Amino acid sequence: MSVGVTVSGFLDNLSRLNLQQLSLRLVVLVAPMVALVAEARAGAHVQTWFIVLVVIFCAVSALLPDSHTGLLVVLTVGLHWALALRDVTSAWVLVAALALLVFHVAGVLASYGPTSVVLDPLLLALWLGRSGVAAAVTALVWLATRVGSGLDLPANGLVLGAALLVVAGWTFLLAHRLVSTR
Amino acid sequence: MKHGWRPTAALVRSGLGSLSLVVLALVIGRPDLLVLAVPLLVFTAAGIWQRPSQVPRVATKLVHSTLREGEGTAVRATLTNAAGVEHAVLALSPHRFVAAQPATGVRAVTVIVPAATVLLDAPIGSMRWGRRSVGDGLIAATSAWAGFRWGPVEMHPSTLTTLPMPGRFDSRAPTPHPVGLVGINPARRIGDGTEFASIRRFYAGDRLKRVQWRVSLRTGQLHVTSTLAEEDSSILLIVDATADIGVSGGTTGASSSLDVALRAAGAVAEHYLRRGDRVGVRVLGTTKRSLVAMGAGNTHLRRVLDTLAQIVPGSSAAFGYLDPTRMQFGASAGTMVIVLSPMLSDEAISATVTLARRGLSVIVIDTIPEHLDFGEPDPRRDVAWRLRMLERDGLLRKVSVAGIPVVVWRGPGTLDEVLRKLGRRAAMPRMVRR
Repeated sequence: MSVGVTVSGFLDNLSRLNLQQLSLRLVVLVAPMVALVAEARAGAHVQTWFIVLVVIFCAVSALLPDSHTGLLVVLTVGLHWALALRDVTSAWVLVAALALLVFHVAGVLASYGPTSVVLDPLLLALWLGRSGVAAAVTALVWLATRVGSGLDLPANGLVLGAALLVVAGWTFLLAHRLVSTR
Repeated sequence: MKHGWRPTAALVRSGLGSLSLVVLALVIGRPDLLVLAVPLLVFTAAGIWQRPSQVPRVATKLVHSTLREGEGTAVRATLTNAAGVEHAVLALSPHRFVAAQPATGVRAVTVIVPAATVLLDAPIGSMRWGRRSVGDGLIAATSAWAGFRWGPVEMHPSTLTTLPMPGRFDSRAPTPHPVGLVGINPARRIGDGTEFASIRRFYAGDRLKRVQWRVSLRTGQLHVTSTLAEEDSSILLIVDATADIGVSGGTTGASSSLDVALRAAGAVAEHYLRRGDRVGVRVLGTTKRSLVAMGAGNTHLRRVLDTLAQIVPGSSAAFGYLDPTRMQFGASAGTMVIVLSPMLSDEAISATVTLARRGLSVIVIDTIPEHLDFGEPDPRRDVAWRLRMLERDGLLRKVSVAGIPVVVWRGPGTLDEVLRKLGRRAAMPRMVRR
């Protein structure tokens, strides 16, 4: 298959976008920008080249929601947050987390089928509920971090080691599940 | 190729994204990064927790394998072992003259309560007669929390037979040579019918209710009213499929010559078979089955329509090697032959004239539509078409010289006038060509 045919097929698919899919892809494009705004409001200096990079990643994610470009968006925004800011537990971190949540859910919904698929209101309601659960858990964790930062606990190697063990166990479980399904 | 459940891009994104952020949060001691990771962590955990254990299987079929033009059916995809399926989507491949609902051919279903079997119906409609493969496309299923995806899996096509649209046709004129046993066409012989024949003297065996009292009193001798017998007719439909003139737009667009011919043939066959006459079909051109012997009844109507639906338009390669004068038409004496043709080929003209010379009543229905659609405008083609029409006038003159009437298809009443004329001609003495 030639590149021309592939491109024309891709453009044909895009031309079949319905209003629902168009809205979802718009959310995919915009949500990480909200995270960047939150980062800036939290005190980070967000460079133009970085914004352009994220916009490019977001645009590719919006055009190809079933690709792994979305992972690049999450990692880029997360790493920039880690590098550009010092331990921020203000409400802006919650806003950024919720923006990433919205980005992820919009990407999931956009990747459910071909560009012309119309999603059932039942499915949209289901994902609204799921997003609500995830948002609630995020808010609880944020509150816990606020409390934790207020206590000003000293660094503890044992706690860090235990936490890393939990993460390693989780990673093992995840990897096992992913590999066993192939 | 075996299709199983595979992690979606969304699961990979949430899994790796959240893992990276959590590790970073622990290593550099940043709880804010943990907050960023939490929503993705929730989706990852839920997605993996809801991982399906059974691999679905798909079977597709058409709800109805035979339709009339313009009617609809559905492609039904049945997913079994579908306990882990939360959302299934089906995308049908587009085909000419097959309309889908929605037009994109994409249908999706959400399964809230897990079920072992998931049905997915994609409505389709057939817009033109013929046999075509439909129902091919792709189907995919997604598990709960969009963690895993099965497919897309290719669906196998099924054959959809579309019978010609039941055109409107009615004829009140009797057929010229009814030669059967029972029917509704007034025959030439005297018999027990309803059509008046003559008033004649009473003979032993005549029914008393037939006595014509006025004439009997006037003449002083018993007279009776005699009637014509009523018999069924044999109708042979000859469909010229050697060429398909014009671009067909299906039931909603312009008609091609073969569209007109097939819809007219279907309507005429339906009309005469419902009246109890016998109908046969001969297709000129390459088709899988080109001859349907004379028969009667509803089953025979289905056989006729099925044969018409199998015609492949424009495939006339084999016809050039056939001699129309030697072709077997299965037409016995008294058969009325209706030729449905655009009258553009010598072969069709030869076949028509040959049948007329055998002493059969032949009528030609001109199937060139009133408004022909040739697609893109082309002045050179228009000139060529005018030349072709001039040639056709010459061919039609040949037909007229042989005493064969040519009528344009108009639906109800198309054949009435010409059938009455043929009936009168059949009653007149004539010279037979030997």
